[in-house]
Amino acid sequence: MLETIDRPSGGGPPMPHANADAALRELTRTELAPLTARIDREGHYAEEFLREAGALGAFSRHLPSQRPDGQMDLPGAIQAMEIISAECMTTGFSAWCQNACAWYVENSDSDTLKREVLPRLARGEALGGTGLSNPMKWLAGIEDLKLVGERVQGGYVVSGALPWVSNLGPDHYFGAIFRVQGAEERPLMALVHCGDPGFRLTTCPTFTALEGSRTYGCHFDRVFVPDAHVLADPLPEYIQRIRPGFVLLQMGMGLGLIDGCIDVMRKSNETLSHVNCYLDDQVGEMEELLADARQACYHLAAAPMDSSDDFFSDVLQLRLTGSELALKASQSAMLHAGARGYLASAPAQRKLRESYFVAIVTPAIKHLRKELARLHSQ
Amino acid sequence: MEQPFKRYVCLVCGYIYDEAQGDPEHGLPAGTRFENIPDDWYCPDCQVTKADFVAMGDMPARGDSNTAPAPVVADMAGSRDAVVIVGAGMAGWAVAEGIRAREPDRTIRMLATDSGDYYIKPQLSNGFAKDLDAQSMVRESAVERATRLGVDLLPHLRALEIDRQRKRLITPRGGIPYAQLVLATGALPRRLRFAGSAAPPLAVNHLRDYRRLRSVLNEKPGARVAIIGAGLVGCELAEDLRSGGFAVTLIEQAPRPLARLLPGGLSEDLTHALAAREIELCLGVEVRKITAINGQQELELSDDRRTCVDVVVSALGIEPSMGLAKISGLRVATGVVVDETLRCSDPDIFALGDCAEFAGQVEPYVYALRAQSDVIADQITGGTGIYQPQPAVVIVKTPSLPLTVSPPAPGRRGRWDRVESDAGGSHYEYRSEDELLGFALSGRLTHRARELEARLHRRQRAVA
Repeated sequence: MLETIDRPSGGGPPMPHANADAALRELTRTELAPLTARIDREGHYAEEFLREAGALGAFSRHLPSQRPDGQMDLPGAIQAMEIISAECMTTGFSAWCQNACAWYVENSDSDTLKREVLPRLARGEALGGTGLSNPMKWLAGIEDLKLVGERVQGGYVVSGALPWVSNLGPDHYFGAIFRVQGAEERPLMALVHCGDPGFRLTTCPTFTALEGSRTYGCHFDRVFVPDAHVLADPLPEYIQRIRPGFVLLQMGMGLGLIDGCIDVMRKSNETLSHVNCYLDDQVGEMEELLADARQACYHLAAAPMDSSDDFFSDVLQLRLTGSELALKASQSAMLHAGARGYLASAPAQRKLRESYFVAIVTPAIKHLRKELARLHSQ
Repeated sequence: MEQPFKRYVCLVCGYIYDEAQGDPEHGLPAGTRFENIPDDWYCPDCQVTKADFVAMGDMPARGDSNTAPAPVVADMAGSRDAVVIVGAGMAGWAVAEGIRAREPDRTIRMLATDSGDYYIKPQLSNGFAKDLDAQSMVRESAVERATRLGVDLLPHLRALEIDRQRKRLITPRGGIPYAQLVLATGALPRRLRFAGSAAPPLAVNHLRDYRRLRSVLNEKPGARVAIIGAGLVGCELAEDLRSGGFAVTLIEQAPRPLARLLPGGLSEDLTHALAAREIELCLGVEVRKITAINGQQELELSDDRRTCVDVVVSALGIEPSMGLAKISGLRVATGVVVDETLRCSDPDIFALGDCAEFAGQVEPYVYALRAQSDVIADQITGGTGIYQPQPAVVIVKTPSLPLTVSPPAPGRRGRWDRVESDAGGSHYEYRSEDELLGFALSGRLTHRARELEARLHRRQRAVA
C-alpha cells in the first residue's frame, strides 16, 4: 500500500517528509488499524490516535507558521491523510476537519488565535472541526446561511443551528460563518469554542458510516464571539484565498480510500484471481487512475494560494474526479472481495459506505457539477 | 371542508414533516397539524424547533431545477493509440484537420481550456470595425467542429503535467493516455506590473478577453481608452476602437509605432495616419503608474504627463506558453524547442504555433500554422514531411494605412531602401548588397506583396 507516495511526480528524489510518513504509517498500523471496525460499527472516536498523529506533525505540514522551515507543504498534508484514510476513512475525515480548522486560523487576520490556538491545533493538542458545509452551499447558491450574528460591544452574539459538524467535543474548536444583521449586514467567519456559553452540541441521528467522527448538531443561542476570534472581515477575499486549500485537503480522504480499495482488491486476488480477472476494473488499471489523480492533486497542491476562478475550476474538477474514482474503486473492491466482502466486518463494504461519503460531503458531486457549470459559462 | 395535509421542511437539515404522517415516535400522531405541534417539539434529525420549518410551497425559489447543466463529465479512459492535442486554438484545430484528412479512423482527442469554439484570432483586434461581438467571432462551434472532424473534445480542461514515462497527460479530470502528443498551447500576453492602485489592465489575446473588453466598453459608449504598446495588436486595436467611436490614446516606449517591424519612413507614415484618425500618440514614454480614481484610471507617464481614461488595455506582445513543457522536462528556450519534424526533445511529443521554437525562432503568426500542422499530421501518420519556414508575411490591419511586411529573418543584416513612395503608398526593400531579404509595403502598393514574396521564395530555394 502507498508504495509510490514518497516520490513526487517525475520520479525525483524522495520528499522531505518520507521519514515522517513512515512513522505515521507505523502509528496507523499499530494504533488505528486495531480500532477500525469499532470506529465504524460502534462510533468509537480515535481521539488518542489523532493526538499522537498530531504529535508526529501530521497536521502541521500545510501551516508555514508552524514549521521550522516556514514552507507550506500541502501535498505532504494530503499524503498524511491518505495514509490514515487508506486504513480508516472516518479517522481520515477527522484529520481533514482538524487540518481545515487549522488552515482557517493560519490564513486569518487574528493574531490572538494564531498565538493561542494555532500551535495547539497544529500539534493535535487541541482538536477542531469546520462548519463550512452550509457556507459553501450558500456561496454556490444552494442554501442560505443558517447562523445570524448581532453586533455588540467587543464582538458579536450568534444564534442559529448547523445540522452536523464533525470532529467536535466539549473542548473542541470549529470555524463558522454567520450573517451579521443590522446596518452593516455582511457575512463574517469566526472560530468558535464548543465550551462557549450558549453553545450546545446535540446528538445526530445514526449515519450509514463515519459514525466515529464525532458529528454533532450545533446550536447557538446568543453565543458571544469576541472580535479577536473573527477569522476574516471582509469575508469574500478570505474565502477566495482559502477555498482551494480547503477542497484540495479533502483529496486526502478520496485518494487514501481508493488506495485502500486497491489493497482490498489485491488481497482478494491472492485467492480469487482466477475469477476476478473477469471483472471490469483490474488492480493495474485502478493503480494507474490513482497515480494520475495523485499527480494532478500534488501538482495543484504545490501552489494552492491562487485565488483565480480558473485555478479553482481545476481544483473542483480534481475533487469531482476524486469522488467518481472513489465510487468506482469501492465498487471494484466489493466485486473483487465477493461474498466475504459482504460480511458486516469486511473492509470492502465499509469502504463502499465511506466512498459515498466522499461523493456527498460538501462539495458533493451535484454541487461540484453545478459550480463547474457556472464557472465554465463565464 | 377539511384542508389537505401539508408538508413542512426543516431549513437546517432538510427533514420533512408531513402532517399526514406526523411524528409518532416523538408524540405526534399521524394527522397532527403543524400549527398544533407543541413548541417543545424538536426536529428529530437535528433538534431545532418548529420555528426553523417552512411550508414546502414557501421555500425560497432557487432557480429552475430543469435547467440543463453544461456537461462536465469527460470519459477520460480513451484509447492508448490516440493523438492528444493540447490546445484548441487555430493551431490545435489545424493539426486535427490535417490528421483527419490523412487517417479517417485515428482517435484524436483535444483539450481546450475554454469551450473550444473555433475563431480566427487575428480578428480580435478587428471586431469593432466589423461590428462583431464575441459570439459572432465564432466561425464554428466546438461541438460542430469536433463532430465534423471526428475529434473527441475535452472542453474546459487544463493539462497540468505530462507523465512521459507512463505516456499520460495529467489533468484535473485524471490521466489521458496518448501515443503522440501535440502541444498547441499558444502564447500568453506579456504583462508588466504597473505601480498604483488600479486593477491590472485588460489584454486581448483570447476570445474570452475580447468578450470582457466588449462588455466593459459596451457599458461606456465613447469611453476614453489607453492602449499600452504600439506593436501589431496595439496599433490594430487603436484603429479598431477608434472606428468604434472610442477616444484612444496609444502609448509606446519606442519613439515610433511598430518600430521593430517597419522601416523608419513607414513608421512615420503610420504615426501621421493614426494622428489623422484622431488617435493620441504618446511615443518614447513609459507608463509609470496607474491609479484608480472614481471609476476612472489615471496614467502617469515617464515624461510626467498624466492622462485620465476609462479603460486601460495592455498590448505588450506575447510570450510562448510553455509551462506544461517545462514542468514535464521538455527542452525549452524562447519557446518549446522543436526539430525539423516539429518534434520536441521527446520524440512522441510535437509542438507548433505560438508556443514552438524552430531554429531559434518563434513564429507567432498565423501564416506558419498551415505548413506546421501539415508536417505534424504527416509525421504522425507515418509520412516524412519536414518543416521549412517560409518568409514571414505580416498584414497589418490598420485601415488608415494598410501595411504588408516581410521582415528579414533574424540575424540577417542589411538595410531598408525606399524603392518608391508617393501619397498613395510606399515600397521599401530590405537588402544586403543585391540580395532581397525582406520588404515593406503600404497603401495602394501593398498589392505588390505577392510578387515580392515570390522573389523571396526563389532566393530561399536558391540558397537551399
